[in-house]
Amino acid sequence: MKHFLAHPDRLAGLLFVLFGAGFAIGAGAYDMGTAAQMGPGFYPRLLGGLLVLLGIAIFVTAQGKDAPGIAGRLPWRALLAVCAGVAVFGLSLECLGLFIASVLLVGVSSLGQPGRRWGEVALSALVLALLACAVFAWGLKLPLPVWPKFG
Amino acid sequence: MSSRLRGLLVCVSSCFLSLSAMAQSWPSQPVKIVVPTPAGSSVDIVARVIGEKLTPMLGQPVIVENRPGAGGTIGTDAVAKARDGHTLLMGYNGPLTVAPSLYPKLPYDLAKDFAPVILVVTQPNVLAVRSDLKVNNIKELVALAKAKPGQLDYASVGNGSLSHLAMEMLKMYTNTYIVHIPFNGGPPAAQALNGGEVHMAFAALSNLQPLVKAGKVKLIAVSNGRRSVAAPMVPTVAEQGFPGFDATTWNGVLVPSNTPREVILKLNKAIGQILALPDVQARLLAAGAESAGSTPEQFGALMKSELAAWPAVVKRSGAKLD
Amino acid sequence: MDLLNHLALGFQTALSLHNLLYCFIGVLLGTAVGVLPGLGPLSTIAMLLPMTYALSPVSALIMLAGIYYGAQYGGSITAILVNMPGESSSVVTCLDGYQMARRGRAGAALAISALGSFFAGSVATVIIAGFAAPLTDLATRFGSAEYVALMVLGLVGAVVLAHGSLLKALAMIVLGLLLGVVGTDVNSGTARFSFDVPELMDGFNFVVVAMGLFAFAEIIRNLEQAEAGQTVLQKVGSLWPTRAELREAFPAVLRGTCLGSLLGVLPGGGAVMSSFASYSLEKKVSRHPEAFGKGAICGVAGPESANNAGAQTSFIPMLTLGIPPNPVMALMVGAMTIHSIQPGPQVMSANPELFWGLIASMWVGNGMLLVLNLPLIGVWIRMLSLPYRLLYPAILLCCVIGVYGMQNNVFDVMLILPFALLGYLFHRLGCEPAPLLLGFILGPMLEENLRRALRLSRGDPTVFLTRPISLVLLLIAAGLLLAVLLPKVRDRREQVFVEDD
Repeated sequence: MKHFLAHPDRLAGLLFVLFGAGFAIGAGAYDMGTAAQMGPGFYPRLLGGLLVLLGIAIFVTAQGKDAPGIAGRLPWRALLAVCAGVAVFGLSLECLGLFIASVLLVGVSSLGQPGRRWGEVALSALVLALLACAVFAWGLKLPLPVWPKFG
Repeated sequence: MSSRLRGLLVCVSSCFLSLSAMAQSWPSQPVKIVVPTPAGSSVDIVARVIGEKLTPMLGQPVIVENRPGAGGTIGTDAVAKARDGHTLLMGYNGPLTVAPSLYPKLPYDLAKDFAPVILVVTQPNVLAVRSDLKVNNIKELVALAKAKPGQLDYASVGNGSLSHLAMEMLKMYTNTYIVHIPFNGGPPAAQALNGGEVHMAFAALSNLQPLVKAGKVKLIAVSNGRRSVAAPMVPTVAEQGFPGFDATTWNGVLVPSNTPREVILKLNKAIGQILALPDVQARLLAAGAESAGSTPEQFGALMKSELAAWPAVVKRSGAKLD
Repeated sequence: MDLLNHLALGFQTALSLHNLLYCFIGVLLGTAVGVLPGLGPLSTIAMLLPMTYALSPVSALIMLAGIYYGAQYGGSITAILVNMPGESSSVVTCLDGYQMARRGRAGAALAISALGSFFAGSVATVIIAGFAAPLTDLATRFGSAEYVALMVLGLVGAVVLAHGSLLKALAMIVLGLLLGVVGTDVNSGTARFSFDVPELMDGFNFVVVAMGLFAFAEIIRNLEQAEAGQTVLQKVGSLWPTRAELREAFPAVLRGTCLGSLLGVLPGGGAVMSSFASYSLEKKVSRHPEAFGKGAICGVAGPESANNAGAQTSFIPMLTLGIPPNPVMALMVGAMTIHSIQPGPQVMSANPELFWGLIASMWVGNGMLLVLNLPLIGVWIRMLSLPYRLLYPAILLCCVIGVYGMQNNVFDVMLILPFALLGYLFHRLGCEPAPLLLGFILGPMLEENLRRALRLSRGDPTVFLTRPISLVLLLIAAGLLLAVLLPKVRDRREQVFVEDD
């Protein structure tokens, strides 16, 4: 079973069925209307149903065994580092300001690559943060807080 | 002490500090005008014209910040929750006086969260019909609509927009049935009128003027209570036998309700002076807006009367957002 | 010859020292905002609008126009270098432009894109001068039914974008259409699938979706390779396209220019659709369709020319009707009215030096872009030679600040994450994101016009077949679909026969 599902087409088919069903069921909350006066639920339900059908077709027509795309484990380190870096930036930008948020983003996302040198990371974080402040906050005058709000 | 608690304390104490110091030295930091519509929209242009002139008068930079989204309610809410004492809202009807009757729950309350400063501009909203439609005034339009019930279409610039509600109000006054075709903004609505897809539209004068010049459409009425400066020959709907008909698009400055009275008066005076400048009036007029000016109380009364008037129209029109 | 006199007047205006300067400032700024993510031409023009009061109307418009088409070019620079489509029209450039860069042909891709844009811009200038009136007429004939037919054609054409399975490409398009549903429905005002999150009431922002699916997913993939012990190789090849590449690209540039000039006139998605349409066309006519998606130079040259030509001809409805086909043009109308010039058919006769000066300046500006950007290619390439471990945090930072700057909203920054994960997942599952993005862009327009057309016809679906333009477009779409399906059916049959033997 595990092997049967570990096929890019079958997994993709499953994913599309899930998405399609989600939209089609969710569209039930909105008015369907008639063809002349289509309600907000008409179009998403139609498309959701279509996506379910396409998903099934992809699942059924999957041929052969495992394809190279799906083999191998997920790159946890890269996924986590990139996501955490962006999340930390988003959480800290409005209270700690652009400079610190930039340093944090560069620092955290640098964890994504093995064999980093910390001195180099620190230096590039500082340089990039300064550049970011200079270009976006001071140069382009985007309304961004540069320094922490309180003290 | 948790960081959140500390943040709260700092915030509260800074509020007290700023309240007492504000009256004399306001503004003590750059002033922000939040515009709840995208950059380049008419509200945005008005805010930028005012902001530019306000900078030297207040002695602090005045920054315009666009916070568009959700029919203007996101930016409006941001100002309702602003506590730095230096955030103004360039508001307009939509999120302030119409939204309460459209949305079941709004994150802010106009009466509780905001204090009015000044009415800045009004914008003429004009009813245009295609040139080949044989009507020249509201009376003839009503006669045509009664002869062909449900066969005429009108374009609006969006569901729940003033252009939509003005037409619904007219339908209510005249007891006619004309089909609503919503568009996404003024230019596409004007394009539909030009291409002959719809028969008529209420839209901003600036969107329609090129088509009038090209002879494609004619203007038959203004939805405002008084005639427009830019098109003085077009009569109002009220003049054409419907006294009391008034659907005026306006922009005005508001501040969070905890703002000291002295600051409100200072802002009212400064913006009032800006609106009296001939070059400002010319620039606003070019952007399709007519400079207004008012006391804070007059502006407050205007919004209060609108808050009372829209629910009936919205209910009747069936325009409902949820 | 009237046209020659007009053009002479135009060049006289555009080549004055004063206007040359503003044209230069415009294209320089435009290129810069095109390269910086998030900060698009729309917000730049809005911010600069008040400053143009002091200028003469011609100079102001020349500068603002320069920002607009400069940004089109700037957007393709990041698309080629780091797989980050800054503008919706540069999504297609990512497909083959970035692959060329990975193969060490970044310089060639950038040069072809600059040369193609210049050529397209020059042709489009002549087209505006000569055919403004008939093209305007075409644009006004497009009603809701015609738009539906055009979108259907565009979506069918997008199947060709992907080089994998037909079914998966179709599913990705439908998923894109569904993602476009999220947000407030224009027709009823209902907020759909927004889960009471006010930020979702306007739907997903295009830049967020494109950045997540393309740029971020790509970074994760590159880091994955690094984790697996492979170094991320950033090859830096020669800066210039070879003679063979130029010869191959030229017909693509020609075809792209024609498509772009025609589609650009249409309000709404004209310029965006032209780049997708051109890519589909190139892949169809190419003798090596299998090379597309792996760095085919025609896949860069065609769409790049198309989107530049489209950007230019989208001035036509604005200048002749006063009806802006997109938000940037709406701002240009604003700039004209500020100077008390009413856009419309009378502009050509009432302000000839403005009308023809602006048109001539576009040609001048495109030349400046070429002069400005060809030397810069070396600089951009040098950026790629930075070690990847230093480069990717910089790309991430640039992206998130740009996304925040669009609406000053942290929510948008966070929203990149699910799209980045989805983009990586799609890569593992062998699904290509480009058709999804086209569905996402066209989806809301398709639904809006479909519902409007049926509302106007009071529910009669034959409206799509009784209107001639709509009928022709739908027939082309059906033909295209058959052309794609038939070879597959034949292949399948041959396979069956082989198995029978």
